[in-house]
Amino acid sequence: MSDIIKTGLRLFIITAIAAVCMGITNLATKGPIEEQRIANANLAKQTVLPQADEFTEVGIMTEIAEKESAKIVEINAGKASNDIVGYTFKVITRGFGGDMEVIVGINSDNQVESIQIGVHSETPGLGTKTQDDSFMDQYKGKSADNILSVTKNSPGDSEIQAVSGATVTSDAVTNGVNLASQYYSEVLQSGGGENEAVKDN
Amino acid sequence: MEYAGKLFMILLSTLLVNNFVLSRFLGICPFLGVSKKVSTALGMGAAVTFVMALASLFTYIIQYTILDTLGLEYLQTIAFILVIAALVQFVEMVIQKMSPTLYQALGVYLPLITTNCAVLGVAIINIQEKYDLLQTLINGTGAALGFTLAIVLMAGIRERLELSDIPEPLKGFPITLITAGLMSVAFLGFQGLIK
Amino acid sequence: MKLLKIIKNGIITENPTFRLVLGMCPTLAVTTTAANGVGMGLATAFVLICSNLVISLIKDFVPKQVRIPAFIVVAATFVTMTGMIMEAYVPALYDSLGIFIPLIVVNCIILGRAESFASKNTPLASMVDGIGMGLGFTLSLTLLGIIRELLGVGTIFGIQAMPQGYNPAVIMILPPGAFITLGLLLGLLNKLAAKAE
Repeated sequence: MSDIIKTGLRLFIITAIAAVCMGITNLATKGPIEEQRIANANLAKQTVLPQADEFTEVGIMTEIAEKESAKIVEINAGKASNDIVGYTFKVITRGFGGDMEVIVGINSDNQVESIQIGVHSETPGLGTKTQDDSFMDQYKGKSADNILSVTKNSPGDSEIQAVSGATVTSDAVTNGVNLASQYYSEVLQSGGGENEAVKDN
Repeated sequence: MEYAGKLFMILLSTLLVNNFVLSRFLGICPFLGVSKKVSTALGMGAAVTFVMALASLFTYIIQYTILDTLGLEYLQTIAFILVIAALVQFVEMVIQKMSPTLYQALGVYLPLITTNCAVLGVAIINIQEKYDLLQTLINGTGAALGFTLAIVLMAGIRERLELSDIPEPLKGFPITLITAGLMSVAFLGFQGLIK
Repeated sequence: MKLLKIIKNGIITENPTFRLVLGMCPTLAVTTTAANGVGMGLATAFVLICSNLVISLIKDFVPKQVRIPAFIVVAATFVTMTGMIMEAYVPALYDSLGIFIPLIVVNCIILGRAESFASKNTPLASMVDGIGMGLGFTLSLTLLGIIRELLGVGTIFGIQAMPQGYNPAVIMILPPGAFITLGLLLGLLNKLAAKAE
């Protein structure tokens, strides 16, 4: 009997020391991890809407923000010296390997400013080529009023040339951008949605 | 209906598209080590399926009732691995008492399962993907069936390889790995099955 | 002199990847680039060195019957700490290694060395064994990463290494490439070893 107690006690001591070590590391790294996360999120927004220096989250009108092929999960109003200069949208779309995150910036000139690809599980070497500047730059300056479509040939005005071998991924990115543009034109462009939907935080 | 569809997608995805062994590289050690004969491969598959389904259930409960409520998310790894180790021990004892025949068939594989990274892997993936309880169970079982599928297929091939003339340096692990690579090519074909 | 031998044992004689064929999951999964290989190797090496040292220090304190759970607790503690430190200071690497960081705890190398070496040897020798095995693992992963990145993307550590116009063999960085590269590499080493004898 005393053997069992001794065994249990010793195992307990080891576990307790282990828990303390992990607790201390957690305390020490919590701050830096949180900072990293915020810095990363800001960096993505900053990249797609460089003219803004401050971002505030805006409420989402779900009935417009959710489509079968894509879904807007976060909208931020980008401000420069307190004037709204555009919006950033975080859209989840359905890629080839699963969900992928597309971050879209639309400026107040009604144009796509720039896009970024976030977390994804696309095929390395094929789907991941949508992250190359040569693909992403195609979206720059496209009007938010147009619905973009993907083509395999040389692209027209409201067309995007697909990455060869990765049409599904190219489609997914374009769906994401289209949804953001659409939401922008319908809700945000007039400034209508912004006033009533600004989140208190 | 939509929910049932999602469940089916999870099952299909974990069984074929993201097969644990051939595309996610989880559970490679038993896949290479215990795939010499179809019968033993089936035994290993059954034992893993059993443990993985139970582990999915228990880790789900622990994550949401204990770790999350107490704000101890950082203890996830250690809590999960201890649960799995205890579970394997427990399953071993129960099977031994209840059905000596089953124990004889599975017994040797059970201790190996604690260090099978597919078990810990599926528990962590369940939490990462924010699955609910039913989805967790489906994912756990599907992943285990995917593992069983891969290991049994491999054993079938290896039984035949035994009879083939293989260059000396490639015998054993090298030819097994190359075979796994070719199977993995075939499984790549399932990508895009789910849209 | 003896310590040097332990290191050589880890890197060459009993190289965990090519000789003992242990820890295959991360070896195959994360070696899509050379940098990932180095990162995973070093993270594992760090956990291995620490857990070997601690296990050797507490080997007389741990009752025999609960040896394995105690080893798992020690390994899991270092894995968790390593994970948190990586998330805080090398977040990009942390993201690309993903689930394989917590899975270091079930890497057979860790428990294998604890059981077969650290629980029988002095703390110093155990630490050195950790260094040797860790280095051996890191070198193997880096080698695999270099081959796959070179053929699959045309770069090494992100630097263009193949001549312009080289069309990368994408299959190399997909799952099949991992299996086939390691299989051929093992075969080649077997051949070389046979020749040397």
